[in-house]
Amino acid sequence: MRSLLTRPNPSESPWLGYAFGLVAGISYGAWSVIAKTAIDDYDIPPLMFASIAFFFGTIMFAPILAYDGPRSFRISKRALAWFALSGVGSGAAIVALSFGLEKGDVTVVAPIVSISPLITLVLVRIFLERMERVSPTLVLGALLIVSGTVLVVVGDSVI
Amino acid sequence: MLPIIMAVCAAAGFAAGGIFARLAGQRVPVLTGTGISVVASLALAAIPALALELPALSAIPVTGFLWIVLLALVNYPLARTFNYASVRRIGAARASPLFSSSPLWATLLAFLFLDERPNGIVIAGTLAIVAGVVVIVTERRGSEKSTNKTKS
Repeated sequence: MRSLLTRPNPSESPWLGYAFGLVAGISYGAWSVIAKTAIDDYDIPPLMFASIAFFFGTIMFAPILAYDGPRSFRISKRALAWFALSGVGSGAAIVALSFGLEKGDVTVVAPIVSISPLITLVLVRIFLERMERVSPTLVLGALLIVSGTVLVVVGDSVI
Repeated sequence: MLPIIMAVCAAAGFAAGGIFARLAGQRVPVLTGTGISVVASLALAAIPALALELPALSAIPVTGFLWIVLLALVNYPLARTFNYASVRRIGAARASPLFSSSPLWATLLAFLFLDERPNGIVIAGTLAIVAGVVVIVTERRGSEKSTNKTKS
């Protein structure tokens, strides 16, 4: 928990970053199971569902924003603006996904959305070339995960 | 055609979210950054939701709201926070595929808690995801080793 509150230490093991990534993946997995159960059982429109979840999320973060927001604002307005843009990107993605699922079939929409890591690699290559290296092995790993995700989504809807 | 365009926009939006999080750097605590991003997401999603689906709000039972609270708890303090913490440490290119392993975990959780049995296609996909995660993690170790060798 402390690692989430502090800056990464340069001597820190990179495994922590991978562990955090997998914890995020597990949490997103749990999210889709909960969302599927709730949306099916209560017939809540996905867009309304996502908006209410964002609302409760905002309430959960309110104490942190009240405590640390002004200090962070003084330290780096630019960093907060990037985080806000990240939220806009993710929020727009969820809105688009909700419309896509409402109008189309999940077997078409979900596999297309799963190419997101490949788009990330392209964007990293274009905009973050100085910060990150995109190796052929990394592209291979991303392709394996994307193709596996497509298979899981398609296989799941075959049932 | 519209669902396909929306799906591509969603994929691009998720990708852009990771890139922007990377650009945010390390000066602001992850939890504060996550809070800001959730507020921004709320501002964006609430407008079409209220404009198009307001009548659905009053039809949601209390238990439905409790499910959404649980979902918000899993998604923001956990998933999004760890997402940003991971991007900050290993970069968007390496972290993004790891988040995409979520269908693997969803299948596993559905198997454990919803008693859903995966078929052959799902198992093949699961193996591909695991292989992809191993390739990415090993790639990082390999590049570190080569960097260390160069330094020495």
